[in-house]
Amino acid sequence: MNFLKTIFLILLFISSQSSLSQLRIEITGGAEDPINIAVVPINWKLEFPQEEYLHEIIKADLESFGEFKVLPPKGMLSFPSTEEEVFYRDWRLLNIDYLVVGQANKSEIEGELKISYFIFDIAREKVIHKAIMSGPIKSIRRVGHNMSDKIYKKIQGIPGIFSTRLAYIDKPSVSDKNYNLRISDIDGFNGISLFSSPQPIMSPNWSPLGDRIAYVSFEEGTSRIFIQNISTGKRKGIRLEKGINSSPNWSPKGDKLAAVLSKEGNPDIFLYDLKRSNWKQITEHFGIDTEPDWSPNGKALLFTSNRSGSPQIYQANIRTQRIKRLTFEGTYNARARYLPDGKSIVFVHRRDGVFHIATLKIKSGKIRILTDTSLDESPTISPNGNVIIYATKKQDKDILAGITIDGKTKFILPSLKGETREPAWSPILD
Amino acid sequence: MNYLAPFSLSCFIHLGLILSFSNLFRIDMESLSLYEIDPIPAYIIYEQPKKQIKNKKISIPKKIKADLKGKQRKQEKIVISEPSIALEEITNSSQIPEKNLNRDVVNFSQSQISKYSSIIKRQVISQWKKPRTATSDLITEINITLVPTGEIINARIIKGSGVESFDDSALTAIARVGSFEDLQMPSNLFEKHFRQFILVFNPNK
Repeated sequence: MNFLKTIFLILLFISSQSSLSQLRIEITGGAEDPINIAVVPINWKLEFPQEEYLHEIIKADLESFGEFKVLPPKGMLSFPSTEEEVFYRDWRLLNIDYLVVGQANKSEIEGELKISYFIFDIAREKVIHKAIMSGPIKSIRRVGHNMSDKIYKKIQGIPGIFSTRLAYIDKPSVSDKNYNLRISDIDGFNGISLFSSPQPIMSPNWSPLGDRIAYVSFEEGTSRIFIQNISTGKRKGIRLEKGINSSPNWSPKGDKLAAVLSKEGNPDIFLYDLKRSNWKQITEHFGIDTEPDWSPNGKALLFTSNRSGSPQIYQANIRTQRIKRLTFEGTYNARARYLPDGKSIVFVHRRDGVFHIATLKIKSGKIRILTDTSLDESPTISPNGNVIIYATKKQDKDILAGITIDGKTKFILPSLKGETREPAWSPILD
Repeated sequence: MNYLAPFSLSCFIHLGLILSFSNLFRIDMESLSLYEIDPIPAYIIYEQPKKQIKNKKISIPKKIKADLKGKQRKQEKIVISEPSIALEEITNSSQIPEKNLNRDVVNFSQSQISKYSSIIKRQVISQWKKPRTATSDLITEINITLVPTGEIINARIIKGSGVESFDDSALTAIARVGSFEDLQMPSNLFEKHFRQFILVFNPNK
């Protein structure tokens, strides 16, 4: 029998080889146009009136980073809500790539709705996704964001980030004399204040599960790191050391925090074990080491240090404690964050006296400047690695702005009132 | 009972069948195709000797018109000897042009292939919307079958990238093209290279 198997394998091999003699045409580039998608108004079969329209929420989501162009209902030739009602020709005429249709029904659970929806690939004339999405009628925005995530994932292949949240610090204003730690949807809606204090709050950072936030508060007169549970609101300060306690950053496993302490006189990077409540020193240098960020695989830390005379970005191997300098261009490189693939970093780079957000490929050392505004700081990266939100200034006001990693789409977070700083992007929340 | 003989016979026959289905013998068919042999060699070998002999025939009698009869043998000789000389001459003199001609034919078809390849390429690129997953380490190979009008009648993934959205985007691009325009070409060229070919999607980032 083995003999037969061998023959069969050889045959398979030969038949797979025979295609090699064929003409091969290599396609390396694609069209730069956005993807055309139509989201038909969801057929609303509930007695409960519709306050916000799902198709509008989804439209705003998908268009926010310039990747999609969503056809408004007034341009549509028909309004199907089931698979049978879709005529591909109608949508091909409108040059649509993908179509989303669906209907909302009452759920068995009180106060919830059930949306059954379909995603069609118009060119291939097939359903590429069908699902039922349920959620409370009251939080229709959440349901819409979840649908956007599913659509995005199906077409782009990477997770959507429309259900993720953003934490940031509100500076005191005329109406509110306090600093506020806020979290909101990434479109600025559903904002809540998690903690407020007349003393400064700094450096918010999400736990990998998105259930807690670590930050620095000066409420006790000195800087101290706190951890706050988002759903319960409970907060507690972690073991305080002499001097500066700042820049907390969660490990990917969630069991440790990297942070900056100056208990030995000058700031160095330490790790805090959340279970054992003890500190372990990682860097030891007379220069300032600060702003740590954990690599996605948990094996290395990025940090900023002025040990060479100017702020530059370094990478420390946690196990061997070996340190490698990553940036060599320019005299100011700081506040680095890993991209989710761990191969590139995003940081603040000064060129010609102007502060930009830039990316650097660790292997090649190639720097790419993304933003063209001048006082850009505190970049935070979306969990799918596609978008960066950063703090900048507009007419002397602190605002948050964003840019896609390819540099093509820029946007300003419009609905955030007041002056906001230090954005921190949540992980993907389930 | 001994089944070994019929079994091995059947094995042999099936092997042959499978091999022929897998296009193993196609290469032989190609080298026999008229397209390759067609244009030059026959022309040179069979036409030119005649012309040269004719010329010589005409030029020789002019010199010795008076005693045509006496020289009959000589002429015969010439006629006999001529073809070999002529052939030699032809092979000598035509060696370079023959080569050139051959290369021309090859170049001609190569340039034709690349011309139509780039027409195809352009139309696929204009319809391909790369998903965000697209990175340079992803490769999808799709076998395309056309009819002479340029219409795509079959697109089959022969080597997937392992990333569904990436493979799908390639298939969608092909579906969006639907039918290639400006692919009017000689039918032998079409049959040989464009009835079936492979599109390789490999984004350079």
